[in-house]
Amino acid sequence: MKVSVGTIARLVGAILLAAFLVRPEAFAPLFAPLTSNGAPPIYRQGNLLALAWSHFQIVVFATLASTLVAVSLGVLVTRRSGAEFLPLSRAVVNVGQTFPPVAVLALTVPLVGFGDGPTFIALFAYGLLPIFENTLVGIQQVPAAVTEAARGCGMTPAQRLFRVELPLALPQIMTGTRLAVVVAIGTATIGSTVAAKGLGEVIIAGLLSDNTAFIVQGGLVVALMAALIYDAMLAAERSIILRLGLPANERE
Amino acid sequence: MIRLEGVTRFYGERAVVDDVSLVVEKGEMAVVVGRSGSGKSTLLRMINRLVEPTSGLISIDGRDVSTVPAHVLRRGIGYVIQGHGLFPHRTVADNIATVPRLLGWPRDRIARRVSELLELLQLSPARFSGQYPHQLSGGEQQRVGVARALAAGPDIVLMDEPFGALDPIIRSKAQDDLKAIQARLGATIVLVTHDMDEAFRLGDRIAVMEAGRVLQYGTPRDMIARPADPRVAELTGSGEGALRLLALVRAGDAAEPFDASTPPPSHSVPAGASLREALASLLWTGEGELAVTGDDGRPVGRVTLASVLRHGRSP
Amino acid sequence: MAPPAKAVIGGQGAGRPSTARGRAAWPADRLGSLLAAVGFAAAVLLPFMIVKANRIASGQPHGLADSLSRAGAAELAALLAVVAGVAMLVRAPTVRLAAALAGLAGLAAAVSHAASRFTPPGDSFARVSPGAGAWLMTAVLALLATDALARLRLFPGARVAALALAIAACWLAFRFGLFDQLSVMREYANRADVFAREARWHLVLAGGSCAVAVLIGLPLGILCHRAPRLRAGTLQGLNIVQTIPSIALFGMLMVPLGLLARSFPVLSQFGVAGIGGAPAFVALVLYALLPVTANTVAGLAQAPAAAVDAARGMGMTDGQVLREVELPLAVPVILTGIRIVLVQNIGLATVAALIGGGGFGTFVFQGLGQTAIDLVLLGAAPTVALAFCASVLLDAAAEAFEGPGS
Repeated sequence: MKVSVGTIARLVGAILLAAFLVRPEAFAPLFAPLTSNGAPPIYRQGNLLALAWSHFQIVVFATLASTLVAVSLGVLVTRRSGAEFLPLSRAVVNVGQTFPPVAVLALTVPLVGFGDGPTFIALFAYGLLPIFENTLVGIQQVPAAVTEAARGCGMTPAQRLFRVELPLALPQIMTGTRLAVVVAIGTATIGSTVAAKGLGEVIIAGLLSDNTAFIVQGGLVVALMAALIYDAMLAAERSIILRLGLPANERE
Repeated sequence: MIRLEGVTRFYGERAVVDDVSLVVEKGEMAVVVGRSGSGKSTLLRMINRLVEPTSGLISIDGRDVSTVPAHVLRRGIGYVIQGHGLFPHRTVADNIATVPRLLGWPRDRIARRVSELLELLQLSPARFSGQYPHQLSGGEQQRVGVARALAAGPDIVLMDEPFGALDPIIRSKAQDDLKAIQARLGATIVLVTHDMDEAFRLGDRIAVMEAGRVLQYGTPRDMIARPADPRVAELTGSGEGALRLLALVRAGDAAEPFDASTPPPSHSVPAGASLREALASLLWTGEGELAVTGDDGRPVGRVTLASVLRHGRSP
Repeated sequence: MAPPAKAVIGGQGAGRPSTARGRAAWPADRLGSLLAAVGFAAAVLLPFMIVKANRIASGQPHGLADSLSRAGAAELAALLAVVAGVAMLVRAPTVRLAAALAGLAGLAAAVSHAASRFTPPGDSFARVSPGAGAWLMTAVLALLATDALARLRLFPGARVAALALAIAACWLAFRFGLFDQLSVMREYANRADVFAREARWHLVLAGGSCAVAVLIGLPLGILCHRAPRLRAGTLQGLNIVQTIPSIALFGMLMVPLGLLARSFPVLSQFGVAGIGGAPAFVALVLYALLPVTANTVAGLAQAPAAAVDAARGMGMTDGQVLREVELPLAVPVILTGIRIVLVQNIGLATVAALIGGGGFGTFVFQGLGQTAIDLVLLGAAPTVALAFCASVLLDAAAEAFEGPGS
């Protein structure tokens, strides 16, 4: 019963999101009460669908990049030859997390200029910590008996990594990626302050023109997108965990 | 044939395995027994180079193992560990197929081999091949672990406390099955255990280890009859020597022909049972002798209390 | 007696030979060598200082040799060479830490020295700032120090003491005007009053919202722990709040708070208004609620069932079980939640400037608008420092509470 309610809510959310992005004008009456002095209730300075798409793209590419780097780093420092780098990598990604997003954005502007660049860098940097930490946990919690058996079967180090350790760490790595994606979707809106293409544009336009309707619709689209992606990724993770009978890792 | 000559392994200043030499003949089951920390596992793991010896030589069929790349060597040697170490993300069939895949066997040959092994270990292929390890009972997991070790038909199988995680009832069944499988496949097995009863039950030869050294390496009978060291006697349990001796003799082998003048005994034991079991039965029933029955249930001879006691006497 | 001993022996055994081989190939510390190589490249290839004729003119890069007097450059080079040698060859963390700190001090002195050399006397327009080379060398030395500190595994108390020492050293450097010739400090000098005001307000925004969130979240967490039916709904609701992007939440709150202030003019005397600090404060509280509540629930739930059972069995009331068993065991987890919240809010408070909410973000967004990177730095650097200090302090607190229990 409870499951089906959740599924219906998600379905309705997805349909509403799609409908709003494709035909925003249809929702104008809903947002009209939030405007004053005859301001437009729906953002028209740019195509909402295109903005949502580039918002989504930048999040996906940045998270892919941080997954690639964080997982490689996690693999490296769990090898015997990379163990020397473990304490420092841990400290660096932790300290990196204390950098506020606005600061990262603002400080990368002189390096790469205005546009998508600073946002990409900020999202990339923020994704590193959760994915790196989860990769570490995932690899370290592979039971010793299993890696031992893999060695005893005559697997080479590369075969052990790709056939045993990484597949077993996968659910944990996915947890990290999921947390990173949700944070990235929110942070990407701040990117619009340095001219990144994304849904932040709508919100900022609302702030500048004192139009609450813009703020609310921008916020809602981003929130809905984050919630739907979070749920989808959680479901994927659970299905893998369930199949493997691995201990569930709840880290919300 | 596995030959160890002066094998030593240091960890820091401490010799965990100290100058061990022994030979395991083809088709034999050698059991290395000792307390935890005696170096028995390290000794076993040096045979498939999971641990490299600090000095000494290990050879298999005359070939120095250090000349073979470690992963290639390991693919030719079965390995079973305590707690089975099954890959949780792979089905039973995929677990068993691990080494054949590493060796690049064709797909249909692997499939045939997997069902053959499942049958051999009394796991119905239809039911088990698609299951994941966490869906199996402890005993089933252990059998899959053995099947995985046997998959590529290795001449040598190394077993590190293979029954350690099983409860006592399943354990004795698993031990019997292992004995039967070995008899059928003729593999050379080196098994490590801390359980003296298991050693006596399974071993063609037993190596008793303590503090990195092999105190004695010989047949179970030697071990009881001529302990090389007081510590061996203590470990094998001198007080139980008689019973251990009886446990080593099958009733069928000790049976005497019937004497026509006396009436046949009213109770019986199977020929495959040990004299220890026969003695227990004699004590329980209060009889002076038992009939020994063959596989078909027909009496083939008898054992008397006196003859059982004679077998248990210190040689 | 010690069944795992066997496994441990095996584990070591597997490692020994390969490690031995690895060492033989490169006898030096590999991390130290890498850092030394990067530092060397930064010193040789990248500009050490950037000099601008005025605030927004484009910069003139100067290399290390050309930024310092001949003797000064030689001294710095010698010092850095010693530090590099220590990084490559010495393994003792205390020595490495001392070397890294000496290197940082030397670098700071060099930057200060170069800045005064490049500033013509009486010129208030020229702007001198450290170049990429100086920043990269600072980063490399900081990494070396961080690695040494991580390896030292200091006790929580010692970590706080180390932080206090670092803050004292920085304070002295600023007090004696070591960096007064640098462009960031020029920007500071121009707005010292505003800076102090925004700094105070930033602290109030981040710290105050965190405190309010704890006051609400802690009882809420306890309530959720008691009533599982409440738990799912509450946490899900707070989860949804987290998915709303910060700038949108700030903006959305302007409406209800504006209405409130207009309907109850009394409230505006207390700072409640549609624009400025109030919506920012409320938004930060809302964001902070989830980590505090969720960690309280998680912390209370992790008390071993057997311990709770035993406490009940001894006749403790529900309240006593909570106070004497569950809460003490939950403290480290709750503190971790508070750390997450405080660090997060210190960062998010910068966004408040977008809706006129003040704080360090004011300088960041002003700087972005004027493409004056020094002004951005004036807002960003203290924010980062603040977040870093908060994270060290609360981490130490969480660990200190964990100590005796586990």
